[in-house]
Amino acid sequence: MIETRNWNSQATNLTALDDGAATNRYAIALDGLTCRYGSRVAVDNLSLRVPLGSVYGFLGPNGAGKTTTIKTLLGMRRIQLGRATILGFDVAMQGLESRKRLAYVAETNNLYGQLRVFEMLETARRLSSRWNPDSVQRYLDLFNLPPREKIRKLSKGMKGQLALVVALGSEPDLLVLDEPTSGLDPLKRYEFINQIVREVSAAGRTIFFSSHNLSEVEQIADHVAIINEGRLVIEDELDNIKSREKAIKVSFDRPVWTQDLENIAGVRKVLQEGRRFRLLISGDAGQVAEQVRSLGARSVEVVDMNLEAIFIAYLQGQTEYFGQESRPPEPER
Amino acid sequence: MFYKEWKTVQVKFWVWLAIYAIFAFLLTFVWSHYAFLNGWRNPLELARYAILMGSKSTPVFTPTFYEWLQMSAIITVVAAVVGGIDLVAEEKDKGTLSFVLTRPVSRFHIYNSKILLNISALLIAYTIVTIPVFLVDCTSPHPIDLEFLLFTLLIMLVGMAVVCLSGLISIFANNVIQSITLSSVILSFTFTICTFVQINFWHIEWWRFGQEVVLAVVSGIVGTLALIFYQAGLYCFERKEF
Repeated sequence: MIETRNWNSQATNLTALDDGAATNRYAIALDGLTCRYGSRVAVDNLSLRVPLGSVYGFLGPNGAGKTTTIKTLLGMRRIQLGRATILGFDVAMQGLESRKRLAYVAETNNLYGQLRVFEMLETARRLSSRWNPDSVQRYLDLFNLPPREKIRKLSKGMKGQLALVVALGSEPDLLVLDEPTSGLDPLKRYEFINQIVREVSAAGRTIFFSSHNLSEVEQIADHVAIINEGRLVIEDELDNIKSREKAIKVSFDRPVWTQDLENIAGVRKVLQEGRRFRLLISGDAGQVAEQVRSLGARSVEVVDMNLEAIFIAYLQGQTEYFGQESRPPEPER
Repeated sequence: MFYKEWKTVQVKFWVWLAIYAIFAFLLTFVWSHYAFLNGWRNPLELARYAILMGSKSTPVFTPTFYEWLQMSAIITVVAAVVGGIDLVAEEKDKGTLSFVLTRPVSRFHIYNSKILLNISALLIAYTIVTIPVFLVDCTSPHPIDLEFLLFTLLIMLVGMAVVCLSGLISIFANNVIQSITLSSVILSFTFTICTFVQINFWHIEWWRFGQEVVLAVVSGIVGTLALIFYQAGLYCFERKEF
């Protein structure tokens, strides 16, 4: 079924770009995307590929350019430089075609509070090129959403669920989520993420989502991109990143200069945690561990890094690398 | 059809209809010179006027419909401001604009459905109330000439122009308050200029050109302004980055 849908998307995409065959393998393809607010650059020469059927976490600190990138993809902002395609359709030239195949759940709840649930769904149905009433009814039953209730009277969690129902009602090939769980308590966040995984990811649709909550990204994403100050810091499969990035916990019986540890080949960063050190490694952790032992370490332990540690390591590393030349962070838009 | 806008405009329509109807009722049955409920007019005196109707001693009355034209012009301008101010500004403020803009619908259709629904609702409400007022006026001792009906078209054009203007303003305003403020400032400025022209150029006897000619020229100017505001709003909405 998934293959059929993808085949259909490709078959109907007669007016895709010249290199459509390449871009059709990706739900989203950005090439040198640049967005400016006046003289300030919000997104700087950003290139990334979101594979079809993937759950893609789009990460970055506040003001990194995540929302600007998403708004540009959705056609809310003009592309000033570079190129963006969604499911093979050029966003600048074929915006309507690309929007027929995607759905968007916004960070700020973008539902009409004055409407009732069924009126909101009717509004969405009339603005969609395809709509599946059966699946909408199934989601309403699943989330236990009262159709005649005013939206402003729903809880935050229910509003999030309704936004998801509205998005899924049009059976999108690509679901774009911008901070979908912001404002939810941990339990609701957990339920929401589980529902997305169960209902969307399991159906083989592509999910592109930005989030500050790295644990939830780690929970569901299979690909990750980190951007900072509008520039791509890293993009890869999450498993690849985690297997590449290791940390070593070290403790010594004697005082040790941090610089000695930093000089070891493969050590990206040294963090002092009380009397112990945490060395962030890129490359062969075993080799680094051997060298640390040769310095007389009392205990050496190779540990996996979670996404949060990787995120911090990359962003701190970049900040230190760019130093004073680094641009000040811009406010999130 | 933009379903949410349809629901919103329905509410506006009933409010506008109620306001027009209330003022029309008050004008026709309470404030009018012929009205029985008119506090300063003795019913017996009214009867005497009716007897004297046609004689030279009949006092000069302002026809009810003429008064309605003046009153409804003011109501229409205010209602038109209300119709246009929340076209985009409210959605921008509440963050719901992203819902519409990310749907597979062109901005041309979004803007047109919003503005046309508001204009239609305003004009229908105005027409529904104006017809009975005109009919009541026809039954009075001094009915207005039929040609005065043309003035209702001018008022409708003014309403359309103001909806388009406040719609244009709402694209740039961040919220409804800003939109109201800007619209009010611009309309106050326009009224001031109109009043200035009326006071300072009263000696120019416009009516000598013929009432129909003056009406056609003024309607042409207002209609052109409405078209300009509409085109400007559409142009800006299609290109604005939200």
